[in-house]
Amino acid sequence: MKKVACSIVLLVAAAGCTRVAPHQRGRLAHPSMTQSSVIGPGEQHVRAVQEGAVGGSLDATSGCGCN
Amino acid sequence: MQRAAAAATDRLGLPRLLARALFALACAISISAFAKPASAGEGAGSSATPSAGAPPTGATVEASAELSTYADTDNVTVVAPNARAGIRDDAEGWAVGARYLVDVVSAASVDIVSTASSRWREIRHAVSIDGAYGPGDLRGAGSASVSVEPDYLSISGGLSPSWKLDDDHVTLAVSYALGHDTIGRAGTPFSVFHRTLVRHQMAAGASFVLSPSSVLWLGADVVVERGDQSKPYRYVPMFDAQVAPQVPPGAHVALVNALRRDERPLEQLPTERERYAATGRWLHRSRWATLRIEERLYMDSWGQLATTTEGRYAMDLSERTTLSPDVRLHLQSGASFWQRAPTVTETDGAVMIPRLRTGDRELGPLAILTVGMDLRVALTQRLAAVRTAFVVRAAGMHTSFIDALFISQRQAIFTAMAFEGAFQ
Repeated sequence: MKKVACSIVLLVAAAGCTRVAPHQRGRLAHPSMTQSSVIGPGEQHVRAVQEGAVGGSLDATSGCGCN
Repeated sequence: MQRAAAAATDRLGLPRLLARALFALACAISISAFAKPASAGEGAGSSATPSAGAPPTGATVEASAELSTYADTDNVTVVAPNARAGIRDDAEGWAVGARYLVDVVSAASVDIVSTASSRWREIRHAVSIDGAYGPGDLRGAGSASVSVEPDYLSISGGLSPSWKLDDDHVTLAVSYALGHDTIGRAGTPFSVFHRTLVRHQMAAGASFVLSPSSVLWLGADVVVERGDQSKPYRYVPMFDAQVAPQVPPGAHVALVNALRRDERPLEQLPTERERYAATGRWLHRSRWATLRIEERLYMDSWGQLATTTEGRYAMDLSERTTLSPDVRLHLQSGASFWQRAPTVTETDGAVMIPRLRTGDRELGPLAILTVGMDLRVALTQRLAAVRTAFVVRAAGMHTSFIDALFISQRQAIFTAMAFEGAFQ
């Protein structure tokens, strides 16, 4: 646990050392660099139904054909 | 190839017509993508940044329609059309949108066969709305959704503020969502029978700009569930303790019926569950491609542990065409109360069944390998007043049920076709 915490702190510190000017952010602004899910709602629902350990999804509900 | 695709989809229960349509559409899009050379204005800059050269002016109206299909070797098919519309103004920092989705599920899975029930079909309707506002460093977003089917009603809503710090080098985000599900039985009004399930989902995370081409996301989420989510249709076969070892993984329905006892109680799951997950996601953009790698670690109070690893490589084949192969591996252990062949105990002639019991193989140990590919083709120039695009996705999924009755593996194919449009 301590190692994980130290790693996160180091990561934040390293990020703080990196300075990226606005004119250097063309690649970061590319649509494919999104943090959002890149799959559609249909596939998200399939995963939510088929993986008991999926968690964190409020759209699992039913409609799974699994009776 | 067309014949092979049709044969494969026939085996999975998809109509031959759909296979032909998918094949024809893929050909048409490929021809369209490579036949149109990019104009001089399209390729400007080192990347396809939407805002490069033309800052957003005014609101943008966006709309999309998608048709997805799912079919597996367990005789489950799903056809799910959905449509989304929204309007956004990036300069002012606001956006609103709404989505409508319909699931048509048709199933004759082995669980249904084992209870001597006939194939059934069910339709789910889901509506969601979302919005966001934040012209400065602080941004707030909210969403709400309702999902309705004959025996299940789900209502949820959530808020997720975020802050940009350190000259946009770090973005912190937190979120809270509340879900309220009403679980019923088909053909029985909720007023006669229903169970309630409440979910609280809390998440926090941060993204870090590591370089002019790399971003890292670290996040964690906790889900607290209260309520009985046992399936009111799922009956669990019971075995004598000395017989249970004779029931192998993947045992056929006939063997299970020959060895099981007469008792077949309904599923009973714990009424409380806490889920914990940690996610790391690294994105790197090179000149012509984006690499996305994600790892998610999961554990919950039911004793399940899981790891999900994903990789995706989006390649710009041309100014208008992006091909994105992806691979995903999900591994999970079984819940602490999971038993492939649940056993009864007899004391002085009294039969005791396990207090917690399930036949839901998704609560058992399993592995799912998904290999897929997206093809996105812009039909117009990137800076055109009206922009349209076609997206086609196909994915194959292989599931290994390591310790379950009836089936030990399942193959599935998922397809989606989407048309997107936007204008300012």
